[in-house]
Amino acid sequence: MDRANTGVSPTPTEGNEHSATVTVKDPQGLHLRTSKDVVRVASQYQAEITAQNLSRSSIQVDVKSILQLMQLQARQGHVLLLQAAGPDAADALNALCVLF
Amino acid sequence: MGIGKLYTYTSLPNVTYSAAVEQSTSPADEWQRYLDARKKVDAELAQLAGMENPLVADIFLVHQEILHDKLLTDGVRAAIDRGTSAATATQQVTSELVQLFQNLSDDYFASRSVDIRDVGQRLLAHLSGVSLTGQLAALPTGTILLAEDLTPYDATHLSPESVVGIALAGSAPTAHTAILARSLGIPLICSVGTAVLQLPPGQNAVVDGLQGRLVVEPDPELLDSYTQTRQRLLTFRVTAESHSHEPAVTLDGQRVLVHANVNSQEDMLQVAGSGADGIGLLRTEYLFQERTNPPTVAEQIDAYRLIHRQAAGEILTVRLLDIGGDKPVRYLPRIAESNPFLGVRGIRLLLQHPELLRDQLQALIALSQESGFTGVVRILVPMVSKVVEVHRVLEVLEAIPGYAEQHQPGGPLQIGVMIEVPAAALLADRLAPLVDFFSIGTNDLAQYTMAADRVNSAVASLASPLDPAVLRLIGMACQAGQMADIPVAICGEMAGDPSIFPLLFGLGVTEVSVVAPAVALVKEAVRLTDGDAARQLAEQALQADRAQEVHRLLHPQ
Repeated sequence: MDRANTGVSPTPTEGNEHSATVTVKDPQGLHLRTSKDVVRVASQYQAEITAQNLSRSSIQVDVKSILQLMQLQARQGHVLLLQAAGPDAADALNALCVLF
Repeated sequence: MGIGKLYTYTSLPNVTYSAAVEQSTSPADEWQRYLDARKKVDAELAQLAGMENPLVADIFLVHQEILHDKLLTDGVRAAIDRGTSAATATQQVTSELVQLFQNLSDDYFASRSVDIRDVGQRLLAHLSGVSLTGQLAALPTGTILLAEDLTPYDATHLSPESVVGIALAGSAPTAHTAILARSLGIPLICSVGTAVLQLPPGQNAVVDGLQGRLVVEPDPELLDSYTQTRQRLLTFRVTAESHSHEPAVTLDGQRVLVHANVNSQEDMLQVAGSGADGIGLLRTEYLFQERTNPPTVAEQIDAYRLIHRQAAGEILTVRLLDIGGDKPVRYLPRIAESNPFLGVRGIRLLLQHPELLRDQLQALIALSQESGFTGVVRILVPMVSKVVEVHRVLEVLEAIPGYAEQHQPGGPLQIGVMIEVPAAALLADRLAPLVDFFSIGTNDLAQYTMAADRVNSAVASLASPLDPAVLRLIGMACQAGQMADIPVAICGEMAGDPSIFPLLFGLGVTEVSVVAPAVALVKEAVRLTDGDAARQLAEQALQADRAQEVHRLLHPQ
């Protein structure tokens, strides 16, 4: 288990906003199948959730879109910044962190 | 074995939609048309994702996700609102997305443009009303298809009525298309080289799936012998199906149970009419995946009871949850492994999560205790590589109330191990006295023995279960089973090939479990098998140097 990813307690930034950083552990990177799981989990929450690939200085993308997630081109070891805003933002991030 | 006329197929690299067929109506109507088309594609993909092979199923789940993606949907909506037709909007937006992906710097991600194009193709097919694979749908009966490769989309539009054989210049037998073609029952050969694409269409040819070759313009004598072989195979199938519900007994009077493999509740539709004697392998992953909590004991009992009732057989063999790093579930911590197939999976994972193991065992014991229960529940422990793993499972079992009463000779509960790691085959004589049955999983046994990934097309052909190395391990497990007087079943893909049955029987296999459509065929193969001849065949196969030699023993010219 990756401590960095699962030990994260999402940091509340402002009101219902939370953020967390995760490191991609999968040797194949954030590939299609994992992305599909990420989208499916994210879509169970009301919160708006974005991701940014800090290792590639990418733009922020919507985590509920598989096509946007793929554009992060996240490889093993890349660090992603997840940000969530909404009533269930903290839960959403907790559920998502373990997937990477 | 397919006999027909050659046809060279070129998969269109970039579908261009002809604007001629469309009549633009109001944006509201066009949006509705798009939604209708999307619904149809969704249903199509859901059906494809329900297929037996999890490797293939996954692609279609991903395609479903792409189909409903916001980028695609919002893009199409915006274009339609600007007055574009649904078809043109789909064409434009998918092309843009394909372009966007092709321009990504990372190759893996760039090549995902194929998946977007695939989804676009499906949408356009419904929107334009004309099939973009019209080429494939309109082929005359008796066509032998030649192609560089086929996409999964192409493959799902093949009609077994018209296409009698496929020869691919590239691709490998494990590629998704090959798996799809096999599930349609179309003979397919791969990696025949690009020269075949230059062959003039219309020539007579034979795709010989048994020998893995394409014969162009066979002389009359050869054609005659192929026609006879094909006729024999057809007759075999017809005879087999008319006796599918009768017991399978060899020529020397040995009853062989032919069970069915089941991956999901939906599979039971096929099993019910197949003639299967029972369930030889229920893969329980379907109960555990795609959810946020593991199933409760009560939920599991209901699911297993339902399968057992529908199968209407004596034996229900349930494989304990077999997951690992490649197929994580949400409620277990994700383990980062550089090689999940050599990592924490099967019983290794269950022993790390005793609550999961205990719940599943408890559900199976409870089922065997139910007042209306008749038959035998067999518990199959996956991925065993050490004797101590079996000891530990038995300890957990013994701590569950009721286990000892149910697990008696002749009782309704049996425990067995999966022989799929070479270590388990090598230690089979140590494992056999501890359990009530063996089940040999030849897919994994072959890939672990040959150190070759069966989904890596570059080495997949190494992982042949007919390799003498694999056969020797199967033989060891059978011998150990015989010494301990326990049944030895086989449940890998190879068991579903009726021509291989005599070899397996000769090695000492006493039961088989196969996909539902193969049950009747394998039962018929049992009826044509003689024990002495089979043992002689096995003896020869064990002395072979390579899989091709074994193949020739099974299919003498």
